Amino acid sequence: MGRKLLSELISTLIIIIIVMIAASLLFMLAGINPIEAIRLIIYGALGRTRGISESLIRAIPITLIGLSVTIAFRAGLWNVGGQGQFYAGAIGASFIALFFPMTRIIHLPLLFIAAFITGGIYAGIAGFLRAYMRVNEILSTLMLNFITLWLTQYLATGPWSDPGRIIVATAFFPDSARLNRLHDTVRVHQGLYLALLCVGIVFVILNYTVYGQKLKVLGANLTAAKYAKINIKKKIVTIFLLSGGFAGLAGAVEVSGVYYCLRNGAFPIEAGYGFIGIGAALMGMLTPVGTLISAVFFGILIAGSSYLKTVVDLHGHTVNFIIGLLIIGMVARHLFRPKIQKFLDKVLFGKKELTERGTSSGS
Amino acid sequence: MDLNLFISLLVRTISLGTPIALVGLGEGFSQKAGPLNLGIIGYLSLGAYVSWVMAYRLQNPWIATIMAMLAAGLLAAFVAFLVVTLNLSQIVVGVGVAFFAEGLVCLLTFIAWPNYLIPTSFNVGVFRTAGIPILREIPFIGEVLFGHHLFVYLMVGIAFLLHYIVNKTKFGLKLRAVGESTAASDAMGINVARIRYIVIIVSGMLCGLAASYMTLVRARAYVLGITGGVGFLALAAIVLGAWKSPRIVLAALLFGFVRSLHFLGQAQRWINIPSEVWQMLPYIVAIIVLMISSIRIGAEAPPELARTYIREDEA
Amino acid sequence: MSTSALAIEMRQIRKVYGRDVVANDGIDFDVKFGEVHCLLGENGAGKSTLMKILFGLVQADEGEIFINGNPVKFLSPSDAINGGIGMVHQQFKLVPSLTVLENIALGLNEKKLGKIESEFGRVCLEYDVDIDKNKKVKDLPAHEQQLVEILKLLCLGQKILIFDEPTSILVGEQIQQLLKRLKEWAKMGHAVVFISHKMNEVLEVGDRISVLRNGKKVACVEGDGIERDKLIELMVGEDFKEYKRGEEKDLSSAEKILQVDNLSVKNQENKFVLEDVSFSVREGEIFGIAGIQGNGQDALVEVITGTNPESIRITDGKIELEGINITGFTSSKIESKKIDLGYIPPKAKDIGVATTLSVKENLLLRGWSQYGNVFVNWRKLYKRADELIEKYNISVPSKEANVSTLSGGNRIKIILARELSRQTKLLVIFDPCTGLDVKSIEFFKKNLLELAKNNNTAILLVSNDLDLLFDVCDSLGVIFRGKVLPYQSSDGSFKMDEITNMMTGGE
Repeated sequence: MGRKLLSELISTLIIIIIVMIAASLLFMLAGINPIEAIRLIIYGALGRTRGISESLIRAIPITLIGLSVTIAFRAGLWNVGGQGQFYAGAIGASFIALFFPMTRIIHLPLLFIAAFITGGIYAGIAGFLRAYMRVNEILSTLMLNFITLWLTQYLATGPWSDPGRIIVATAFFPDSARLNRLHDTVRVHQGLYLALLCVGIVFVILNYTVYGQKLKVLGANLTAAKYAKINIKKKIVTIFLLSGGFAGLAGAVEVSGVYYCLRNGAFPIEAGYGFIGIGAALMGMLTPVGTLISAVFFGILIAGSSYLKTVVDLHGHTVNFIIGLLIIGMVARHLFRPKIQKFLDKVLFGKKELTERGTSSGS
Repeated sequence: MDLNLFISLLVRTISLGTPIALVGLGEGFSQKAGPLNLGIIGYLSLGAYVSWVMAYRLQNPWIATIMAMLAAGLLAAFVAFLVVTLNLSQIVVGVGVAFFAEGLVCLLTFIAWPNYLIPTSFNVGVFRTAGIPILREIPFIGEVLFGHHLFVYLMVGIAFLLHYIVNKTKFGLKLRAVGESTAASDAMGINVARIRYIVIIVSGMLCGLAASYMTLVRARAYVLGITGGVGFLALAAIVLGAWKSPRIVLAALLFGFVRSLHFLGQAQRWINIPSEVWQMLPYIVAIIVLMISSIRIGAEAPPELARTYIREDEA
Repeated sequence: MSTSALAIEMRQIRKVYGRDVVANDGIDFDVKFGEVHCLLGENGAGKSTLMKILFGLVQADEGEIFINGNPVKFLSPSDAINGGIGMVHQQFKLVPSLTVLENIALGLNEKKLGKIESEFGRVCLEYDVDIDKNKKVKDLPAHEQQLVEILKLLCLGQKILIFDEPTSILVGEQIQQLLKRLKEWAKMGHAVVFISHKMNEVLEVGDRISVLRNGKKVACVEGDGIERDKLIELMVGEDFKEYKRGEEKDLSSAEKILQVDNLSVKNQENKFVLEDVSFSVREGEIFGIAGIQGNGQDALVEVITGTNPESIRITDGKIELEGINITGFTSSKIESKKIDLGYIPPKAKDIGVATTLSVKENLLLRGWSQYGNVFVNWRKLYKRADELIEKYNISVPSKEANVSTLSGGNRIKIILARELSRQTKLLVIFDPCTGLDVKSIEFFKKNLLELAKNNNTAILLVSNDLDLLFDVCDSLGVIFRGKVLPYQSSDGSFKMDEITNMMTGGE
């Protein structure tokens, strides 16, 4: 098994290098010195405590949405509505935070439960449509993305807005609804623990529960799933509920850990976390731990290019071309990974392969 | 509501529906043979950029449009290479290409106009809409139907052309066969890869045309993200149109109408509905439409939609 | 084309799948115009691979191919088709929702649909076939679909015709008619390759017979004068015992495990797919239902096991399992009643396993509650997996390996191991032997008989393989156009001709 993991890592590294070379060429076209750009990105993301903190802040919601995507994609359900569920969660969390002040020890958990439920139910709409009305979930989740986007804008500018604030947004959350920062000097907050906890939960679900096994069977083959005595419709809906729940948590983490309010329109983030979460999950081979690692990597990339912006005034979405290439590269990796494994077999594990051959021959 | 307002509502319906229709026609054509292009969002962004930058450099909107179609077609050809030749997942590649193109366009726009000082229509060779002489003078009908840019009528022509190709020609027969059963088509000696390359590239080029229409005809302006939403609505229009070209156009016009209601809502102060509701309305309609379509025509989606085809290679 | 040139000549063909599955090992094979050349061998002997190589579906690792004496290299089926080769696959390569004529048109280079129509008429006349060209392919019975497949090749003017197990979907008279046609076409100057593992057919039709075994060619003999026993020996290599049913059992007092009463099922178009079906299966009984594909057996098995698509629904009647009414239940609902049934589905290697999951995960399939309710007891499963792999002689690289890396035969063994070992009161089996080699089939039969005898399992076996049914069943029914008729033979033993007659609708 070690050989497979090693070949996965090597092929991932190769993809990253190729993408970085491609990115450098494009930067050169833009008259930006690629080495300088990469240096700035790395410095901005990792150079100081503040940089690391900024990278982690971005990695937290990406991880949570990545987990959401991992659950859905493993079950063969193309939930590409992470963005919409993110907003749904942010709305649910803000609702609790703003209108139900209470003691912190209840307020914060309640806020997250609300976000999980709103995100889950919002995704559940797509799940219900898929299971009972055969509506393609790619289309429905894409459309649902827009609805909560505009709903957020409406709430933040209209009924929930606080006219006393300079920017268009709701009032600040009370302290009882804020995630504490890990240290006074940095912005990274307790949401980090929540993300790690969720990675653990999803890991256990996928690997150690009957539910997780059934989920994977559903993803492998629908006919086999029916044969395997799985209640497909019910399962599809519950998977969407679960998947949307994690994306909803991402929204909650953003409002209660970073902004302390629900803001006008799109969050001032460099790119849509919802879609980047898809990238992180795919790059992480649809495993919880892999997703976490990829999310940190994307966090670094986004925080770094955000710093780059202070030097070169590039639009925030520019970094998306690197992310896009990485997503494509990660699926393309399967084309050459077996060859790398074969090569490793020959060079490093020559003897081991021979013994395995002995047992695998036949038929 | 007075007549002028009604007329301008219908005119907007057509001009907002046209790009949705163009994208839907190309993508519907592609889906009929199997490939699902989520990358249309990327083709549109790229097309919009190329049309504007070319119209600025060359001061000729026609050449700019052709360049936009070529650029979007080229990106689509890259996608075809990934999903047809390399057999990568169409959904994953679609998401990846959408990302890639968005970032690339940000960078290219920066290269063309540092600090994003994008020239306005004064400095760019945009189209001047004239409409069809004489016909456009007809009261009401002429104003609604014949005052549009040539591209609108071209769109209708493309719809019928694609409908004819799919249903009446040998190529169309092959295309339907590939979308229905790829393995069977392959064994019959149909060049599956060639057909899929063609439909994906056609889809890309029509996105280029749609993007050019949006920048050079409709908005006469260019900003990053100008094409947002059109691709998604086109995907819904295809389902509503049951993968049939003329019906896709009608579905696109429905979305055009819903979008133009936003304008009505603003013009008519008495309709006290917040702007955001108008903005999200097309997507709510799209979801309702998907639900209705799935009850009525659920089975009509091409069976091979979004599936990669790998030749069986098993002992 | 010179008449003396061989239609096909394949020299020293070698093909290895994956690391070490040698499918073809230096095979020589040639076919003349005007002959029927049979390719005989067990499942997995390498027949299909050889023909896939010839047809460009698979590339050989080594070897040369000559068509009409010219060296060729086919990289895709379209190359092979241009080279004059026509292949009738086991699974038809037709587009179901298109008409017969449209399907014919797809295979031709001619662009004008009118010309294609007249060409089709000419070919039908020349080869003496009659078929409604405007019917949709999906509305035709299997043997007519096969005819469309063949007509496609004839319209294209292919001189070389390859038939891959063409009789597997046919029965009785249909087989005879096809074999007769094959001989006629050879006389008309075609080169015909007939792939089969059925001795009688090969002996009847073959001018020459090539025998493959374990990826090697072991003989090429003249069809005239070869003896059946000799061929069997060549094909199987060692003599093996055909397992036959033991003594008659008295089951009249045994408890009824499965009881089906007046069951009627309709499909989407509101037509009956099953009509007033009644039968029962008792403890320890093996009840066989014989029938040609497409007579409602899919629906029958699906509604019993709760795996039917929503488009078909029960309109009348009752299904009882262990005394509990399960009419209209889905598989998950049956499980919620705490009753269990084993099920080996058709196309088992595709449906019965989730190929992207590991061996251990597939052994868990369907037996969920055995290994925990919330959390999976992996340790228990591992232990069980070891036992099953040992007992059923499944060759797997490891329990973690993906099932997709296993051969078809091993996939089926996993399903057999899982379903047979779960010791349910009822076991439903549907067309189990496709894709199994002769030895595995014997092994399967032996297990089945043991299960009925030692565990008193009630077994419902649905198949079109009469040899299998005759070998193991205690009693038989025949399914024809949605109705199940009990078979009572004239003298107590099963009679091939009587059953075939019932299967094709003659009383």
